[in-house]
Amino acid sequence: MTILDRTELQLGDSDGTATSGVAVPPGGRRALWRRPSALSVFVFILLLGLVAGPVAMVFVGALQSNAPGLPDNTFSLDAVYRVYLSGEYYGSLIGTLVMAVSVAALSVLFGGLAAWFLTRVNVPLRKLWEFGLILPLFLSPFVGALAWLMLAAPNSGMINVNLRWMLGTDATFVNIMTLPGVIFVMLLFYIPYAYLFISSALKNMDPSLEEASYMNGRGSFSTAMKVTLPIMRPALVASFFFVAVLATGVFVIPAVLGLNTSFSPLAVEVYRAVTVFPARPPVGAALGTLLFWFTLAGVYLYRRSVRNANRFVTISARGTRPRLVKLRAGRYIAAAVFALYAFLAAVLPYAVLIVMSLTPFAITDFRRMTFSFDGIVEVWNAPDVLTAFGNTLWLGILVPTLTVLVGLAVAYVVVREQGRLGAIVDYLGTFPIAVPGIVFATGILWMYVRSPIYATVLLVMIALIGAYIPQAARFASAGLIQVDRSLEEAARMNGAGKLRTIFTVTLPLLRPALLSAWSLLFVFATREVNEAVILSGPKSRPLAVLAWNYVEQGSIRNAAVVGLFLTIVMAVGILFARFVLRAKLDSSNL
Amino acid sequence: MAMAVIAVATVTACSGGSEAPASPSAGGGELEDLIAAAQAEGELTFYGDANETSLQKWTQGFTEEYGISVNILRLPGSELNQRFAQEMSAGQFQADVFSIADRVSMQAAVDQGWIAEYEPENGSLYPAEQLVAGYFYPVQNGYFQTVAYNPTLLSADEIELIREDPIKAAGDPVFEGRVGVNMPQSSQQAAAFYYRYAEGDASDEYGWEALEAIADNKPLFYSSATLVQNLIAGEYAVAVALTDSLAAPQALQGAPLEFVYPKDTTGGYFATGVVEDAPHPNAARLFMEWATTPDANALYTEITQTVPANSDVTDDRELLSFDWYAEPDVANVWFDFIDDADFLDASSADGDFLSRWSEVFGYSG
Repeated sequence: MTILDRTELQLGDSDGTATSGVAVPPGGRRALWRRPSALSVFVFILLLGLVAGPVAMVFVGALQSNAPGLPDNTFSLDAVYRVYLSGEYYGSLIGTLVMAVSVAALSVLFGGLAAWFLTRVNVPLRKLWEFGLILPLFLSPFVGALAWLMLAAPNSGMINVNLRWMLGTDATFVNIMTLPGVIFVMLLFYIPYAYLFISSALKNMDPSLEEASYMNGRGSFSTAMKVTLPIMRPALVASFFFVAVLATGVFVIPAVLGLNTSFSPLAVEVYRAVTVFPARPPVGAALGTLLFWFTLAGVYLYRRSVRNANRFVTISARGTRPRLVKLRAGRYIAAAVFALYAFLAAVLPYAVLIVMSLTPFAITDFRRMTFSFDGIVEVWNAPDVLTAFGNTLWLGILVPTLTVLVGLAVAYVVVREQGRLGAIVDYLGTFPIAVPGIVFATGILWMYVRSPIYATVLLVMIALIGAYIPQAARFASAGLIQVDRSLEEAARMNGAGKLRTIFTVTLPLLRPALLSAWSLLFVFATREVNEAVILSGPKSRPLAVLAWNYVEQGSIRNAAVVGLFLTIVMAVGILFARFVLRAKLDSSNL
Repeated sequence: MAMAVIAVATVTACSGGSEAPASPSAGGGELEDLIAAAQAEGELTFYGDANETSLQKWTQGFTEEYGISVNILRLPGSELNQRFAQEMSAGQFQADVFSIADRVSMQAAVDQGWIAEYEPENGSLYPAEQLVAGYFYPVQNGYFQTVAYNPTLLSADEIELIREDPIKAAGDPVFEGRVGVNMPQSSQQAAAFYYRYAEGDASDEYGWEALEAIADNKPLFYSSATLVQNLIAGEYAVAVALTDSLAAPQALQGAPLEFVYPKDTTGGYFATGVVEDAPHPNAARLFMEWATTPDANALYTEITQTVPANSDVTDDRELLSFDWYAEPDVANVWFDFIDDADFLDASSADGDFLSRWSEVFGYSG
C-alpha cells in the first residue's frame, strides 16, 4: 500500500456518508494527481476496443468515397458535404429532433404521473400495475410495431376492417401510419424507462420532507407540486434526456410503420443509405456522425442531470415510508388508466401476435380469417431455427453477465477511484447510448471485418456488450454509491488486494443492483435486432434477426411465430432470474 | 485424370479455392471425386437475396441428395452485395456460393476476381445471353415486374381496367388512395421498370406523365416484400412493380392476389456462381453441378412458380392453370438495362433519375 493510498483512505473515512462520493471526491483535489490504478487503465483500454474504436471507424467511414476497405475507395468529403451542407437532410433532422423531444416529454409526463400514483397514492393492485408498466420491455419494439400495424393500419388494420362491417360504415377509425401513430407506439416502449427512473428517485427520496409539508397544513396536491416536484426535477430532466437520446436513434418503429407522408427519421435514413439501391455507406456513416453530435449533446445534459439526480437521495435506512395520498374515486380512475395502458401496450399486441401466427395471409377481416398451425410447423422445421435458439441463449446468458462485470468495473473506477482517467472512463462508458445501434454495428463491422471472430456470435456479443455498458454502469454506480466504502476499506486494511476486496466485499453487497441490471440486459440482449442484423453470419443469427428477416421478405405470420418463441425465451429467463437468482426487475435498485 | 484427383485432394486438405477444378466434365469419375471431396467438407454457405423460405426449400434438395448442409445468409440485394464486397476485400472468405438478382453487381464481382471460374456440366442448358460461361448461371430463373391487385377489393370493371393497361390504370383516378408502389430504390430492376416508362423506349407512349398520374393517386411506398403482404391484407388494392417471384407463391397458396405483366415490363435473371477462395470449394462446385441440373431447376420452378430457365425443364407450373394468369411477352421484356449506359448513369448514386422519381411521387426517402 502506498502512502497516497493511505492518505486518501483517511480522508475518505472522515467524510462520513458515502453519498457525497458522487459530487465531491473523498480524496478531494488530491485524487486528480493520483497515478491511475491498474484497474482504471485496464477499463480504459477495454472501452477503447469496445466503444471508442467502432465510433472512430464511423467517422473514418464518413470521409471515404465508398465503404472502408473496398477497392477503389478514396478519401472524399462528398458524403459529409451531402449530409451536413447540402440541406438534403435538414428536414429529416428537424423532424427527428421534434419526434425525439415529443416522445421524451410525453414519456416523462406519463411515466412521472405513473410513478407518483404508484408510490404515493393508494391505488388498488399497485404491484400488478407496476408489472404492467414494464411489460412492454419484454416485447421486441419491432414486433410491437408490427402488431400495431396489423391492428391500426388505415385500410387493413383489424380495428378499422372489423368495425366497418360491424357498424356498416366505411370510416377510418384509427391510423397508426402517421406521425402521431409512430409517437404513440414509441411511447408504449419508452414510458417504462421514464417510469423506472422517476419511481426509483421517488422511492429513495427522504419522506420526511413531504411529511413536514403535511404537518404545516398543506394538502396532498400542494405538497406534490411544491415539495415533491421540485425535488424530483433532476430525475425528471435526466429521464427526459435519456429517452430523447434513445428515441433519436430508433429506427425499427418508424421503419415498420412506414411513415408515408411526412418525413423519414434520420435513423431510418441511415438504414436506407446502407441497404437500399444504390447503397452509399459513407452517407450512412456521415448521417451517423450527424446523429452523434445531437445525441452527444443529449448525453452531456443527461449526465449533468444524473449528477444532480441523487442529490436528495437518502441512503440511511430509516424505515420511514412516504405517506400515501388517499383518493376516493381517483384511485379507481388511476387503476383504470393503468389497466388501459397495460391493455394497449402488452395485452393487445400479444393477442394480435398470437392471431397473426395462426393466420396464413395477414388477413385482418374476422369473417375471412382461417386458422392453422402451419406457420408454427414451418418455422419449427426451418433448418436454422435451432441454431438461432442456441445463439439467442448464448447472447442472453453471456452478454448480460459480461456487461454487468464491465459495467461494475466502469462504475468502480468512476465512483471509487475518480481522477482524470476516471472522468474519461465515465464519458466513454456513457458514449454508446449516443450512437444508434445500426451505426455502432457498422463501425464494429468495419473494425473487425479482417479479424477471425468476424461473423461469429462472439462479434455480436462484443457489439452488444459495448452497446449496453451505460445501462450496466448506471445500475452498478447507483448501487456502489449506497455501499459504505468503510466496508471495503476494512478488507483492504486486513490485507486483501483490490480485486479480492471487490469480489468478496463489494460484489456481494451490490448483488441486488447487479441482478436487476442482469435481468434488464438479458431482455435487451435477447430481443436485440439493430446490431445483430448487421453483424451476424449465417450461423450466428439469433431469433430476433430471424424474425426481422421474415418481416423483410414479407412473411408476417412466420415473424409473429418467431416473436412468440422469443417471448417464451424471455419469460423463461426472467422467471429464472426472479425465482432462482432472486433478482427483481423493478425500479428499487436503479 | 490422376492430376485431377490430386487437385481435388489438395483442395480438401488446404481449402484453397483457386486450386479446385474448373470443370468436372471430362469424365464421370471426376464428378465422383468432387462428391467425395464435397462430402468431406460437409457444409456450404450460400449468400443470396431471393426469398429465404424459397431458398431453404430449394437447397434442402441439395442436402437431401448429398448430405451436405447448406447455411443461408439472406439479405436484401444491395446489402448483400455490400457485405460480400466488404468481406472479399478484407480477405474474409465466408461465402461459398454467391447468388444475386442484380446482374450488374455480379458482373462487378467477376471483374474484381471474386467469382471463381467454374463450368458446370449442364451450364449450356441455360440461355446464353443470361449467363457468363464459366462464372455465373441463371439457375434461379428469371423474374419480372408485374402490376398485382387484390380481387376481393375490386369490381369486375376495375379488374378489367387493370388487365387492359396496368400502368395507365394505376394512374386512373378511380384508384385514388388504393395504390401501393414498389420503390425504385428497392432494386436496380425496379428502377429500370420506372425508367423504361419515364425515359426509356416506352416513354413515347407513357412518359413521366404516366408516373405523375400514379403519384396523383397518392400511393403508399413499400419495398417489394412488404408490398405483397399489405396487398394481401388489403391495405391497398393495386401494387405497382411487384416482382412475380414474390407474388406467385402467395397466389398459389390461395392468397387473394392476382397479377398481370405490363407489356413493356422489365425482367432479369438471378446470377449464381462459385466464390473465389471459398471455404468449401468442392461443396460449392458440387452445388453448381446440382443447381444446373434439370431436376434442381424444376424444383426451383415449382417452389417459386417462375418461368424455368433450364431448356430441359418443361413448364408445367400450377400457375398456368389459373385463368387470370398470362405469361409475360418475353420478346418485349427489357433485360438489357444491365448494360444500358444511359440508364446506369441516371440510376447511379450521382444520377438524377431516383431523385426525380422521389420528387414526382413526393417520397422523402
